[in-house]
Amino acid sequence: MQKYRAVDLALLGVASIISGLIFTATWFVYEVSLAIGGIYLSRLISYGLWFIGAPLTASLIRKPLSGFLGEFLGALVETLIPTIGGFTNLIYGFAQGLASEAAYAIFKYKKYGALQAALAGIFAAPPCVALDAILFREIYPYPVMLILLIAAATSGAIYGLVSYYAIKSIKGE
Amino acid sequence: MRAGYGRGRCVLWNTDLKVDTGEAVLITGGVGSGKTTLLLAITGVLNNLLEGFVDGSVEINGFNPIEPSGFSKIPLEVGFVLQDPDKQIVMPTPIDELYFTLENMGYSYSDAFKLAMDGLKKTGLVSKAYQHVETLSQGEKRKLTFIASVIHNPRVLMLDEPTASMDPYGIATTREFIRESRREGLSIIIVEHKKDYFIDLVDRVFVMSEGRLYETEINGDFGKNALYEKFQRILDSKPRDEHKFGDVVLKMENVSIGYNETLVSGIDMVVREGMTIGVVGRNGCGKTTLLKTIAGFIKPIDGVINRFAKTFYVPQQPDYIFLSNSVSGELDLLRRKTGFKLEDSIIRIESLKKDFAKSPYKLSHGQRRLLSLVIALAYKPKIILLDEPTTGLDDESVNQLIESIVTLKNKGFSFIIATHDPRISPVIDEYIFIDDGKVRSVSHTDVFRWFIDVSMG
Amino acid sequence: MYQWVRDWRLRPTTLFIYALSITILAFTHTGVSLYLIALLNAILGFTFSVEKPYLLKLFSIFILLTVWSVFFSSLISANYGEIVLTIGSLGIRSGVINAVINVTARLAAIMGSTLLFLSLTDPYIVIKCLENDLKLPKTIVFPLAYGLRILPLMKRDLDEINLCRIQRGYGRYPLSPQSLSSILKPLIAISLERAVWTGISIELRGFRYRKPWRFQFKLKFLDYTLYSLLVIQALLPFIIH
Repeated sequence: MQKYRAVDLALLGVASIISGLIFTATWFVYEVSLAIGGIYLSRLISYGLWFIGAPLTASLIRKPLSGFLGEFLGALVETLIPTIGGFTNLIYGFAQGLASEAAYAIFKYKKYGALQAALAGIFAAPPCVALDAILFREIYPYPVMLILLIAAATSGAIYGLVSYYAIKSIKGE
Repeated sequence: MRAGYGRGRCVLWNTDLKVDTGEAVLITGGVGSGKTTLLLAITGVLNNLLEGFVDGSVEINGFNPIEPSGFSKIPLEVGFVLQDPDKQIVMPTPIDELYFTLENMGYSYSDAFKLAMDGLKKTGLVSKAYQHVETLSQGEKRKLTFIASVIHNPRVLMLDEPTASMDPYGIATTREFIRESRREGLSIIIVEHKKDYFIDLVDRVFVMSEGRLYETEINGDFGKNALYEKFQRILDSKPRDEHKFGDVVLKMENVSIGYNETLVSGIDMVVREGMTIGVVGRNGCGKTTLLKTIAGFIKPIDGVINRFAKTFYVPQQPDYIFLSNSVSGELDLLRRKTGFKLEDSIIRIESLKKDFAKSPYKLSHGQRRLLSLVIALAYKPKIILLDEPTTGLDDESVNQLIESIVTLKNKGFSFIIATHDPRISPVIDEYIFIDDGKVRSVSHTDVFRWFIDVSMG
Repeated sequence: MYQWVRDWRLRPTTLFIYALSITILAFTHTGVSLYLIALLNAILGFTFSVEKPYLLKLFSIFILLTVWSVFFSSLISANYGEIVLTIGSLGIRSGVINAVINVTARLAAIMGSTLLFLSLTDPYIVIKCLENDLKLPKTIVFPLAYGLRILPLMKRDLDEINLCRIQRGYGRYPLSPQSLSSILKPLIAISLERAVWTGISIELRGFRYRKPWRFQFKLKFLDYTLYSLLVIQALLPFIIH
């Protein structure tokens, strides 16, 4: 396991704040897309933004656990800002963070590329949809649940790629 | 010693430097000459933190910071002041910022409290000790970084471009800090391209040029009078072209500006085609607010602004303006939004041509400013608002900027430039000075006298 | 003085643990226990949020919106049981009412305790207390403290970036992944440079040797009260039966 240097911690702080700010703004996006297009559109457009903490941080820092920490600390920031949702965000952040981290773990932490970023977004979808069902009783018939899951996962993949390519263009590799 | 950021990219060649205890040394030179790299190399940061390399030997007070074991002693022995206070301050409140270093060094809480409070009292920051650092002004942040760097009583002090974004009051504060540190017997290395303001405070002066270090003689010409003469020469050397100004493009009558409360009131201004107005004043007096109000981002609190032409505001930090992954990408976006074609560009951009594929964030500071100007011009504004365009530019880059502005002025563009840098005065037709919420017209001589008097004390 | 770390009438750590625990309890408990917990915490939160009224507004909106969406989703998936209410041709059965009441109660418990926590603490103070009491490592505490330091800076960066976007003829709000990317890039680029220098700055100030001060603290009356309240709420199902 590589050690986190001082720069990495500063970057972690930066990524947590950016993620936290994005998470906060996403509530607005969610409510608007829910009103316009119902449950499918809202998942497709906004859920990926809630998963963005992990791929963003992992693409930036490129060390083990950076994905999980990015998502979890971003959720902590979101809780403290504060936003609607309070401590529930922490629970979501924890679960989503772990799931996204798996996307990097299965590659033995050797790769932090576009594929991993997209997978991180996709992996965060199941725990999120599951928590929605448990916490907020957002339980629908199976076909509907499946579509919701796919919408959320697609959204996650898109924003995972967005964060990867944004960082790639800055770091210029 | 030779050093660089990666094998094959050597930045410093055969540099030898010897500083005796209690001595103060100034290292000056153009932007990009390697001055900052030198400091990073001799503190061991370059090879220990940034994956660079250092060949040769470095010795500070008997230990070698290049070796990891020596590097661990650096925090205790050396105080370091970075170029930008916003990059140096890491804790949310001033007192925590001071506690941070002391906690790291193993001071007890009671000792740390006393030292921190003393430091805050000295800099007049006690009342803001528990407030967020963003409520501090730039000058106060600078004072905070000074105290934070020496709070643990190091024997060596290093400063990297400490006056980079400072107004003359900031320069005065820096000078005072250096004077006091000398009194305490610290050995000091200052890296600064504004050499004229520090020559009288140091024992020796070095010049860095293309990675090599040369010692120079300190000839008798320094201090306030030398600066007066230098600026007078700059003014005289470029006779302002007496071309006629064109139609009125902007008219302000009795305007008051501010966000929630009035910052500046009673502003009257008339700008014609081809004219350049310089807005001067200390940091925080309202220069940026004025520019943003003229650009239309903030509503004036009172008064009337008549715009007869398009405006474009170029922020102090050019990075805010970029949207694309590469220079050519930016030009592409410009073409799509405004029909801009590279051949039509009025200002010379040869220096950018070789870096088309590069990301705009990876260009040098001067190149980024140039690109931001190109972007601004593509939108065909008649009035260009520049916010502190000379920050971080050395004399040569400033001259290049002046050249571009003159070319544009002759084509009928007007400029309003917020600045506290007298180097850009040749290109300015009229100055207005913001002081304590009021505005008045001043002459060029007034401006650089104010600048020199305040900074040199 | 580090008063807020050493003496505080009610320790932020206690509030943090309380709110987190109630959030967990909201999912483990059902029925009457849940309703009681919901009521209690809603009252607590409501009372203390007087200090920060915008929080109450925010949370009320959320509860309303979520109840609304739960109502609809349970109409689709849980509309069984006896008909309780008829609106036009739509029969609303007890299943729906049940679902709505349950979710509302759950939310009320969570929001109430969160409201209590947020009204009585400040983010930075929470972090310092958690560092001291829960012995969080500096690899977690520093990013959070640094994050709080740069939050206003980043907000300012965002404003400036938006300003430039509007000038260049682009929308203020990112409506597509691409525009989000174009806002992210300058934000990250500037923060990246800042972070590199911050890393250098803290290394030069001895960060790797950092061992934060530890203050001993004693739980006070209010802490015990809150913990007792928590235990009672946790044991409610057993008390009731």
